[in-house]
Amino acid sequence: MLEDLGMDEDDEEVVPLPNVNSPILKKVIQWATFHKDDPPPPEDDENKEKRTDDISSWDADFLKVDQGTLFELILAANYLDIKGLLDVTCKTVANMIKGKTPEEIRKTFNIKNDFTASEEEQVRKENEWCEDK
Amino acid sequence: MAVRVAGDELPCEVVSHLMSFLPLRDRISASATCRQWYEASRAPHLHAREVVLVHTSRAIKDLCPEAVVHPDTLEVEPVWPPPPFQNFCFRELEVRTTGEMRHFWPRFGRRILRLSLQNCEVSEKAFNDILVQCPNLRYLHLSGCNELYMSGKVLESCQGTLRLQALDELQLTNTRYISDCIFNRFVALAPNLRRVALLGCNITCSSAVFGRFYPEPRAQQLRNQLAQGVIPVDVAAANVFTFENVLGVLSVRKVISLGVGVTSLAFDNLNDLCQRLNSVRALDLRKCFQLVKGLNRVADAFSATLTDLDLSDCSFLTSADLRHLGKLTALHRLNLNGCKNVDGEVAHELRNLSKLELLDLSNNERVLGPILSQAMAAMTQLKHLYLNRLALLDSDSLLQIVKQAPPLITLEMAGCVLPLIDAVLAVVCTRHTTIKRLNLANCPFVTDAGLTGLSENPELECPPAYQNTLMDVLPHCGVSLGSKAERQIVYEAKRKKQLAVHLTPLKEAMLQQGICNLTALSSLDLSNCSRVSDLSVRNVFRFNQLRFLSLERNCQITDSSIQSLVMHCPSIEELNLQDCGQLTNLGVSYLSHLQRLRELNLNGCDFLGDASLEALMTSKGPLRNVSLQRCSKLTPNAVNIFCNWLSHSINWSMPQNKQQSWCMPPPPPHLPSFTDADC
Repeated sequence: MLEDLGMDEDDEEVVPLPNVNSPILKKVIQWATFHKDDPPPPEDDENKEKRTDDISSWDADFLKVDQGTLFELILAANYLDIKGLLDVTCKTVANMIKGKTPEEIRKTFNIKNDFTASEEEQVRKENEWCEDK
Repeated sequence: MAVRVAGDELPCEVVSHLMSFLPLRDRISASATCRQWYEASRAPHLHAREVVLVHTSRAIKDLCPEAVVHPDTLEVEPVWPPPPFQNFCFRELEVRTTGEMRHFWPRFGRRILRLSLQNCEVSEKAFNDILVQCPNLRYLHLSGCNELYMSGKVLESCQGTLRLQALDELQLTNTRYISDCIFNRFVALAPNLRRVALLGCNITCSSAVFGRFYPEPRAQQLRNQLAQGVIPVDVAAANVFTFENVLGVLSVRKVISLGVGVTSLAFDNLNDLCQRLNSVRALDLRKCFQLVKGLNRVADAFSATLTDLDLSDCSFLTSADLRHLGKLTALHRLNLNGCKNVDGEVAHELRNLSKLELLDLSNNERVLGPILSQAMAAMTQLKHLYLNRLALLDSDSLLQIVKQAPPLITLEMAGCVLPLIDAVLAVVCTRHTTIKRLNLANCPFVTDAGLTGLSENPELECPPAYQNTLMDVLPHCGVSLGSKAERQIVYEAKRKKQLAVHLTPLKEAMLQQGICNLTALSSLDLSNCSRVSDLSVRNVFRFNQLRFLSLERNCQITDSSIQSLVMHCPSIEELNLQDCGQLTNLGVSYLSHLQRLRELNLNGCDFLGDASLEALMTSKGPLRNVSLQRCSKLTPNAVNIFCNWLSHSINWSMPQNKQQSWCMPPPPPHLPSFTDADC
């Protein structure tokens, strides 16, 4: 993230974080401190199916928060470019999505349906013929 | 001061990243929630592992929608740009570039990376045109499609002009009409071809026949051109497909993966292959029944490089020859399914294969348990293990195998009648929590106790009075239980219902130890595990990713199991309830609430009446194939109505789209068979 902002790691400059408020930043620092000795995460292999069942129990407890906070953590991890936190929060959300219908997903995540009826139909028809390889 | 972030306020690339963790159907559900998530679902990397299966002309229409004009406002609703589909499979369809498919290739062609035509009718001209419009093609598979090869002129006209630079893998399978000339034309088109499969093609493997079709001057010309790195097209024979030519051409291309299974390959050919194709890393030799030996050559030539080897159903390979497999230490995937001569000594040699990730030893009746479990101690990278129908395996060895294996993704132990006991299941549920595919079919000693994790609890064991009787009648496939055993099973079912009432305090324990630990489970086969009852299904089947489930011939399953499945396994797409004799109309009515159910097997469910069909017709899911054989209480009238409904089951037409006409319905499902008395 520092590279994106054009900053050097050694400077004593203050880094503005307009997109992250303090309660969320506290949680991010808590996560990062616990995971500070983790090896760097491996590169994503596009050919491999990604797992969501490998969330550690500490992370699972850490992420027992309300859904709004969970999304804020995702946004913060994305902005601060912390891949490990981004992956584990996305996995948690993915586990909440699995098995649900679109309507149930909308309810869970407070999503407004902005499709017209015929657009919904077009989406459904497009995907009707897809199968897993 | 926390701002509540809604799902549709996440940036697009974050939603795409989130969707990369979802299986296909869940990603499709997520993409249907709102426009922003739909846009996010269009990221190309999300579509790399799905294939669009086109087997009806309705699919073509859905993929190439025409602009719709509102009848009232006369506004034209725009057609959205095509989704980034990369992989297409056409099955049993006439594939053209004209008519109703005229928009298809311009719309999708440039993005197509993988194209498969299975038993399709396609003319040479259409095929030429298609290849021109798919310049980024990486993988091409033609299975059958005999019409294309009949005249022998396919690809002749575009030899000089067309180049498929990106084509990496070519599969021409299941046809007798390919000749050396045709094959060489295909290869000449693709300068970067590295993987070739020719399974089920009529390759002539005899050098005598080669000599007859290639008399000396011609044979010399062939060899000269190959030596210069040129693919010989004019010199190649047009009326025979020879292994000699295949080897020559593929050594020019330096292929790394070769499939010549289902051919008459023999020792001499394998010897040649080992000498001339030293670039090979993957070899598919399944069903080569003429192959009796040759693995020593393979081991010498490829010991450090061969990563994939498929010898399934090469049942005439001798045990002495198979022992050389131990030298192929670089192997990642080894398939010995049905190699009848795999015995203890062969199994002992497998101890050197420490890099194996996939091992299939199914259908080998001579493998001894203790030797196998010792040999498998070194396989620390194993992910997929297939041990179906290993008749000589014992429970101690199976237990050892399962205890020492690293966390597996696939585990199949169907038909391991004697060794698969609850203790083995207990280890699977605690150690192999990453399992996605589990097959325990035809294992009658799997009980509720094992599935719920309460094997130690004496109350759940079978009452002693009936233990011997059930063990005397070991169920094999295709043999029906005698009526006395059926009475016993019904008795046991009633007894377990009484027990269930007393089991509430134990539920917590079940949820911690039982099969519900396998949270990633996507396919579960418990066919013919006759001692599995509602107790397991209702208490521990909590799988939100389960897509395929078979409870075939489990007579103790009742409607309450179905109710539980609907609540706790919402992702079920294929459900096999054949011969679950206790199911009634009520159970089937629950099934209409399974939102993703596509295939349903209710054969032999004798209590089902017309009300079942009416209930199924209320289902909103994509029900496509329903099997209702031997359901003797269904009336022909109700079945007809149901068949008509099924053909139009994806009937979501909205009032304003009335002018859209539906094209050919999908093929009708199996009709039930009626006895003469019913007609």
